[in-house]
Amino acid sequence: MPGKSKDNKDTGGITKNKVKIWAVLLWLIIWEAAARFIGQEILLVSPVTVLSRFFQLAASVEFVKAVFFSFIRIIGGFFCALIAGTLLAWAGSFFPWIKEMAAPVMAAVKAAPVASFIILILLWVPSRNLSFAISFLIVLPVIYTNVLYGIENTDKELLEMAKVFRVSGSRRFRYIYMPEVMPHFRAACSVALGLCWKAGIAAEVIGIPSGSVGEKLYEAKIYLQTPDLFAWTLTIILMSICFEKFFLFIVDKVTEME
Amino acid sequence: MDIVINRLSKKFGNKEVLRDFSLRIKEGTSLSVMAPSGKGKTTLLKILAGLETPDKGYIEGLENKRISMVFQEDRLCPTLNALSNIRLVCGKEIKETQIYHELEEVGLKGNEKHPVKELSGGMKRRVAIVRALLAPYDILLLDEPFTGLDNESKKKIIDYIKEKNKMRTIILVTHDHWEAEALGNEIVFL
Repeated sequence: MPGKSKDNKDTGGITKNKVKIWAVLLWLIIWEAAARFIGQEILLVSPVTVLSRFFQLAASVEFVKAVFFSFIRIIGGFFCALIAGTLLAWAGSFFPWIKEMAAPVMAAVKAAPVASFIILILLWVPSRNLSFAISFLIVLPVIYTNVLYGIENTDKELLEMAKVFRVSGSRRFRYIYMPEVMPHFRAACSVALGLCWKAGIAAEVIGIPSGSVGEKLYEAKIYLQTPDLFAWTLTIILMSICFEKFFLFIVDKVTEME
Repeated sequence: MDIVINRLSKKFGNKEVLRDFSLRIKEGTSLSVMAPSGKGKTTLLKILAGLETPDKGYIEGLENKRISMVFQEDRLCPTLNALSNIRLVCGKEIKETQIYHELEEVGLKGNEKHPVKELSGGMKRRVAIVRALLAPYDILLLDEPFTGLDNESKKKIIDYIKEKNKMRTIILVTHDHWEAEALGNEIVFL
């Protein structure tokens, strides 16, 4: 079987904006100084207090349950949208009527405010599964648009070559389409993973499903527990970043194997 | 079976590139088609390869015929190396050792596993020619295949094509008289 050359790490001229430790430390110092200057924990809590509260929360069973509850639903919605968006994009690239039919729906989903969707979906879906539905809806157009763009921009000359030489469908997919689509797919996943956490947690805060991270955030706000609010926010950021890194690592490994 | 091209016409927008073109190509012939740029040489090959459909006219004798082609551009997968690009179009009967041997014959020894995007224009051309000759075919279409090759390399590659082709039909399009005479038994002007 043909194998890809090892030299395929073309970044396409994109410079990675890596987070520098010195910059993080500087912002933490500014935050700490601001918290001390204000002197009221209810308005601005110090980073040390947030970390301490985070570790206290993390040691509880309730924390683990809430994280599991939200993670399963938000990432479940992400994966379902990943599969649906990819399949729809492939179908749309071969059948123009599918693309034409999907276009207004995707445009509407992209343009409509997330809050409108949350309230609307609450009418149809129990609040327990609201974050799943919202995560799905937010991710779907991102994946669909990017994968479709990748397929449609696949080198036409290589496809003609494959046609003349009667290259099989599976080999065309693997050696002609995949190298073109994967960079767009990866970029879409990176954007979508950030968006699904933002939208999913927002849905939980509005729908307040029992035992979710969103409910904990809502309670922290109602009872003015600012350290809890920050600690739960830190939890969401960590879940989002860790999963994104893990998922993109897997995508990169699959791409390298190809 | 001979290939019979009958009153072929093709337009792109308002530009007519082929008009009532007819030709009979005997099986096993090496035919050179000559014409200045923009006179429909590539379009004719694309119609023969099934990549374009004529507006008028028809072609007989292509039924169940396998086509192989060297395109005007190299059309190699940039992420694959030379060996893999050839492997992509070959049948299972072609062993890897044979591909190594063919690449050596055209002066590409040591470059088999280099990504094609790192090869020079002439090297890519030779990979594309080896690919076309190792793919299973009955008719070989060559669209300006020697672009980017120096005269000495051209001679060697033409001898190589003649040796490997084994009496199968070749249709070469070129605007170079020397190439047309060196490879073709017959020459026609569009």
